[in-house]
Amino acid sequence: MLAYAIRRLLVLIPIMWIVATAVFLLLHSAPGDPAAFMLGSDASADQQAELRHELGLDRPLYEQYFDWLGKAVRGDLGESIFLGKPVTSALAERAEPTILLGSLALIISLIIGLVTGVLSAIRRASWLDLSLMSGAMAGVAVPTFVTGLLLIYIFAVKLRWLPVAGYEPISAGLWPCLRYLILPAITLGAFEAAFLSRMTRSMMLEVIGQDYVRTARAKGLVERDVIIRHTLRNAFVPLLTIIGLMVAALMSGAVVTEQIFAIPGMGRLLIQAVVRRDFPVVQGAVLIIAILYVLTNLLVDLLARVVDPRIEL
Amino acid sequence: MIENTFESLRRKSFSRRGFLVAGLGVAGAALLQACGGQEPLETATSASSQSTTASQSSTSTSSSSPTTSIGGAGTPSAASTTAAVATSAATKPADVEHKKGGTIHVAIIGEPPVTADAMFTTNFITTDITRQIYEGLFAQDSKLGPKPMLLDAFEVSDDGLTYTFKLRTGVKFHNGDEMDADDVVASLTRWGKMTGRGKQIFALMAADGLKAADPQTVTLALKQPAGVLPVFLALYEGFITTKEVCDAIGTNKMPDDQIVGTGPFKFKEHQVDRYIKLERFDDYAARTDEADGLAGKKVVYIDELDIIPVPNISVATSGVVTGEYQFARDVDNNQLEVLKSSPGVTAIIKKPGGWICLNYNKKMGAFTDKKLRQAVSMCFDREQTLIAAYGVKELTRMDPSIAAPETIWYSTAGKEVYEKVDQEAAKKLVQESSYDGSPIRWLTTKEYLYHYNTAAYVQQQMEAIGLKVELLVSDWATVVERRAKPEVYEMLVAGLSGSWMPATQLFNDSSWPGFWVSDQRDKLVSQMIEESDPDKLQKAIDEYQALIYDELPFMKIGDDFTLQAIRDEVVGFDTGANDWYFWNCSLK
Repeated sequence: MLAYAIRRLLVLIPIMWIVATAVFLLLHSAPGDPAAFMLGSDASADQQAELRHELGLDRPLYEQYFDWLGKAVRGDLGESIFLGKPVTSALAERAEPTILLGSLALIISLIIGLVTGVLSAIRRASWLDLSLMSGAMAGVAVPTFVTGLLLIYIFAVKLRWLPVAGYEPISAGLWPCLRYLILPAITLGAFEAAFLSRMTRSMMLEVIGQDYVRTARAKGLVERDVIIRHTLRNAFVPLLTIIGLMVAALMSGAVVTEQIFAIPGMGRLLIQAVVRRDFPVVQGAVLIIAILYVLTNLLVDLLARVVDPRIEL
Repeated sequence: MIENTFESLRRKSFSRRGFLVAGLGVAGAALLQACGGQEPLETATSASSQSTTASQSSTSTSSSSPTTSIGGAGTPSAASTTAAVATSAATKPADVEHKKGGTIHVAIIGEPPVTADAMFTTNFITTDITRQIYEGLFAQDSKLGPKPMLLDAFEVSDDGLTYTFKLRTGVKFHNGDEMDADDVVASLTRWGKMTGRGKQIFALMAADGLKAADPQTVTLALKQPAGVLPVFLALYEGFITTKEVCDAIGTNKMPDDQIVGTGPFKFKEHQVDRYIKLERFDDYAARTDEADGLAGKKVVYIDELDIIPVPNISVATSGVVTGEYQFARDVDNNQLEVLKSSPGVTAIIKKPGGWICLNYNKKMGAFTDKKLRQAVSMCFDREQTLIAAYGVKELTRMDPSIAAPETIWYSTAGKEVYEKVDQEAAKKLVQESSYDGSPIRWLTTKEYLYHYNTAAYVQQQMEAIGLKVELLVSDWATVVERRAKPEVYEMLVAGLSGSWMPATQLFNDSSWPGFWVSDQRDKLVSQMIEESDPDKLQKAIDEYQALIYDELPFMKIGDDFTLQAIRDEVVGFDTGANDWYFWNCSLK
């Protein structure tokens, strides 16, 4: 298992290089100019050219590429053009809101997704199944910006229970922080839960008809044990992959949700950097996200082995 | 088989029940929407009656304070000064009892590229913040004309070549230092190096023309007259900071720890994407003359001004409705009615705003032919286009002027061309033109919907007169890059400011997209820059505008206004022509 983990970690190196190069080339081949964005639309062409020169954006592309790559290898992701600070510290500042929001959304989605998925499967074709799966269908179909705005309208504007948007760090206290995160976490969690619920139901139904489940029932096990120990555990291996992808997606920033709720997380930073053509930030953020995905996938594979020892790595 | 039949029966029966549940859910949702979503009509009516009163109050405020702008060109004949759909928030500061204390939260759409350095960028968020912290030698009055701010007095020599600025004494910077002539010279030197308008003035300046004659006097000597100088210096970019800051940062963008101004608010803290906090500057040296727009006496009653980036403007509006923010700088046009019927909130229609035009590529392609420009210019209805572009008629205005009616540079020259819409005549002009039937490439974006909506509407009108139009839709950054390349497009929509002096409009630069080259234009711009006599300046503006409607480098469609929202607990907020500020107002 250790050798497998090391092998997978070594694969990270070419993956990171490919991702970095692809992002660099894509960004620089797309039209748009950070100098124009920084100086505003009234700035003259001369002023823009001056700033481009200062930022080193008028240098040949290969020179910019090798310069960036050389620094990245040494852990220096460059400096944000817009924020005027190192990319690593810009990303580090955004980690707390994203991790907190992602974790909360993950808890919501796991609880709702797994419970409703299992209930739907064991009450297959009942009114409960129909209602839950209709809800899940709606959850998958409704975009997060609609859910977000709807939640703001109900819970912030009409009921005045929670703030409309913003963020307070955890250092300000648990409740001050949580009250800003509840609505975005539900928005994000509901979407993920809906997806997970449908997948859980499918996986459970696949397993529930297996001989060993019938055998378990025949030998007199109580239904709870049949479902939890025999059905869910076996359905859990493919679900782990899905949950792994969910974790990676949630921890790398929720672009739309963070924008709507004005949360200063990774997703918001990334989308703003794309719009402003803040190349170093986009490159740095994508690199971090790629690493996150690779590591999560590795973790999922190792966990799958723990859950099901028959799996060979 | 039996099991299958049973299953099928079960499904049928529960599916009916399911439908019932779903139906009840939908009905419930609809009921909820009907009860909670529909705003009561009475409130809307009362809001609109409030608006009328406020508008009257706003008008009387304007007329009661005499305008003594420098270089003014008279009051526009057709000007409408009822700028805001405002309520009690528009109350004149002197009329209300102010209470000290509290924090005002302002929702803005995003993060500035630099917190408060309007010399570095023209980004509006930066200029919004700069305005609260810094002051210049002049400031814009309620007609957007210049009035002395950091000056006690100033003199212009008879030949118009030498300006002598006498600085106010006892004006302190936020770091406690007293402002003197060296600070002014250093700041204006930076302005001359960094800004387009500064460079324009410095190009006219005599060698070593900017000097500190004594600690309270600055002289500026020019090679040729520049009557426009006070107008330029009243803009936010002409702010004064300390010599030490200027020496330390040069022409680089100003870091947060170097923000030192003389304004009524001082910088406190900046957390990127969370807030920018400003606090009252207790040692602020206020002028004694009556407040007039951004000029005159400034008193800060609130303790703190928190500027909060909220990227989604619907959410920002909701925040004003719930009271989390006291002011939203930008509100979605579609929420005007919602605001009007929200208790405790006032919708502000900010005039002047900008204006939009069809900008033709005159460097190459079909629109080098003036006849085709004339044809397109007269083929579309201005009002319908404005409604298509902005959705709400109340937020637009048909007007031919390059400078808005709320400014001192208003002109009606060219009105007949602006108002002429005649599709038959347009068709004839197309036939007479050199148009060869090739598609007219129109650069547009959906990032700013008015661009795309205008293009989609006018495209139909152009096709009705026999032109082929191809919309090239991309993101805004791509439009910005492509519009500098004359070979890739024929036309695009341009949005321009209505509050600027016409000589400073972007299209006066021949390299600006559209590429308008005109000797006559250059001559008139020079006249506008040189002239200090109001009547002569107005004549130059009229001629300049007539030239625009004759040469048709672009066709103005109309004015658009910014919709903003403020809570009624803010007392004394100025809803006039100036950009927002929070001195001379307080919290109830």
